[in-house]
Amino acid sequence: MLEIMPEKRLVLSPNIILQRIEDIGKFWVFNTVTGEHYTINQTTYWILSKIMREVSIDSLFQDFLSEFDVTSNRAHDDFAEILEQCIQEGILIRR
Amino acid sequence: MVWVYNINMGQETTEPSASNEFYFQWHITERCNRTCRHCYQTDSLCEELPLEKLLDVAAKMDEASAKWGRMGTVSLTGGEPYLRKVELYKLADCLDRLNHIQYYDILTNGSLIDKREAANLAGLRKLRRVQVSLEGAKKVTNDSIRGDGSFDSTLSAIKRLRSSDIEVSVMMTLTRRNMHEIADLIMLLGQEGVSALALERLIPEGNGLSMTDQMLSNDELKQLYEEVYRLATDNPPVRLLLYRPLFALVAPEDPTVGALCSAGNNALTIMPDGTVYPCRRLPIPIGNVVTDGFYKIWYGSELLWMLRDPRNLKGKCRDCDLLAQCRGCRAAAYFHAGDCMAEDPQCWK
Repeated sequence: MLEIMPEKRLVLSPNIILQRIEDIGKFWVFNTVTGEHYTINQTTYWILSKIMREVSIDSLFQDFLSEFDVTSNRAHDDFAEILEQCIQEGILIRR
Repeated sequence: MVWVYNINMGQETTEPSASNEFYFQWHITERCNRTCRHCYQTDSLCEELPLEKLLDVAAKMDEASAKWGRMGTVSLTGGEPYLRKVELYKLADCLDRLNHIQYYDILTNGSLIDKREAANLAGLRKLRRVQVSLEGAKKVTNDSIRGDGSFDSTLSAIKRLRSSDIEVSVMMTLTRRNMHEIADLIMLLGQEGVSALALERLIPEGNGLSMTDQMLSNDELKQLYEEVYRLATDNPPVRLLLYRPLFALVAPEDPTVGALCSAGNNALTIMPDGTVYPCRRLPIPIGNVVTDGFYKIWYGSELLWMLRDPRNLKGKCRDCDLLAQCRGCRAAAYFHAGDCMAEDPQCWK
């Protein structure tokens, strides 16, 4: 499980494009170099779009707690799992 | 992972033959030895990619088709593609070897296809058919649009191609001048062994701007499409290709008729310099395949995303009950209203 380390900065890979059609609940991640494409849920889209706007991980986690009605422990686990998956898929990169 | 295709608010759509296809219309040159009056080209010519770059583009088509789980299909065209004969054959040879390109067509005026070229074409493994164009069943009608001698030249090309056992289709652009010649053209093409006839609407762009008076009115188009559907279902000697916007209005219950506009859904047009359009008839640049690649264009183009979402449609197209089968021709809307999401100006519904 990824440790949420506030001192580390995660950014969206420059090859990544986020797209959404919110009214129909569709959210996607596209890699413009490899051609990979993923459907994602609204929560993941919310996180990635914040990271795209260069919100720090620490601040983002606090926002996450406020935005979603979950316990801190559960939020931590979910948040970390999403980030871990996105790092593994090359959607997020560490700076 | 899910393929992003045809975002249609969850409705099932009817798109015959398109479910596994990604179509590339590839203009390898804009040079032409004819000056057809209705052509969507203008007199200005764009640069041409050298062979090496063309082969790179072909490889990108193959890769993208594989990534998207589609079989790539390609139309090699121009201008007149035979004005780049060396490159045309090298490209065909390349496409023959690519795993995810199912077949390709060559769209030509046929004037440069002699007996020897027909024999060469017969040796191409994935060549599905050669498409030529005729604008009517009468020489005078055709030549008034495509130039003197073009009718005889095209018929000769059809005969040579058929002699080499190459499948041939014909395209006709519908105008007031030729709208009454379809039945006769079907008979003529049947006699010549042509397999299919495609009917396209005249879009007033390029040279075609001078022919706006030849565009059919909504009522004329309705009557014509009804007649074409009747001809198509009356065991004609030539298969009529009815998968175009607005045909669905004629027989909405018939799943073989009509189609969604492919722009933004399962097709791209590549120009000679690598510029990419959503459709050749919708000449709005959305990137360059050489510098951007297909993925960046397909995933990132705001125009393509706008085209994919039917809620962006305007006018009568927006609330049409046939949205799952027809969203009108976006190019016709663009050249009529200056807005590619406007209603199809020729829709009679």
